[in-house]
Amino acid sequence: MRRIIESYLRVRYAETDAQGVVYYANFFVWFEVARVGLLRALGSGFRGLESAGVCLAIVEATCRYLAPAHFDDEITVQAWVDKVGRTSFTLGYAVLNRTTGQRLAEGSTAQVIVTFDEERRPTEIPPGLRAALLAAGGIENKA
Amino acid sequence: MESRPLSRDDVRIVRSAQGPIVETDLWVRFAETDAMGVVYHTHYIVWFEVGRGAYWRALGLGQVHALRDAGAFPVAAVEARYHAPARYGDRVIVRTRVAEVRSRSVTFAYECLDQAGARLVTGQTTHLFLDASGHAVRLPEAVRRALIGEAQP
Repeated sequence: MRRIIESYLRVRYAETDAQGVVYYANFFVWFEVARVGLLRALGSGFRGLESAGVCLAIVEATCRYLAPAHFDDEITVQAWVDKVGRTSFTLGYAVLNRTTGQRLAEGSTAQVIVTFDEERRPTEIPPGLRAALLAAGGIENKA
Repeated sequence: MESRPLSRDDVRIVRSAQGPIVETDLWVRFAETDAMGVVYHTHYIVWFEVGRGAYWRALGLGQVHALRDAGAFPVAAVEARYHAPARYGDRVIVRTRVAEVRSRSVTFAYECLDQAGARLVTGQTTHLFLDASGHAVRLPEAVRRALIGEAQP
């Protein structure tokens, strides 16, 4: 069963633009909030990864925008595990207005586990994280 | 479209089989880096906007101001693929071209290159056009013609 982890935030004025709405690139920062929340919920968190000598490098990011967010809106960002490969995995996201429930955007990121050193060499997903990603509903990607 | 200079000092126009490509340069700011020592991934999406702004400017500043007054081009979708990281102090070249023009949307394609021409990030953005009252409408004819190259930058 797919676990959906929710994170919450409130739109800052600094995130808005001259059109009176949240500048679209900021949704990717919100995805990061949700990604960190998801990893924390799965046990290891970013700090845990770093102490295991690895970190995440984003290799692909997508977002489709359905409706704008505005200053001071309460926002829910959902994250879930999509595919799990040998060194990489993909996450899905949805951004919702927490008050109205309206879906504002949906997107994805693909990230590779790399060594937390100068080389940044792609490396296998640590076994504990891999098990947690699969337990959260990730689909094993054999490609 | 009262002024359409062939190039501006911060913008280079390259002719290609895929239509004109507009190039502009930027230098990575320390504020754009993160704890991994590289540019934080969302900043490339802002750089896409830098490239798109250069593209609009290549069409002529009058065009930009007319657009700003006519309505808005909200982003409907973004995609980015990350090939290699940029670092503080690097000079980055952002190349922008029009990938697709439809009656109600336009898609721009981008490449961020390092000084040697190696690809750092590629991606695209798709935009709708909203009129002054905020409704999605067909692209204004002058804008559409400019984007499909009938009035090339």
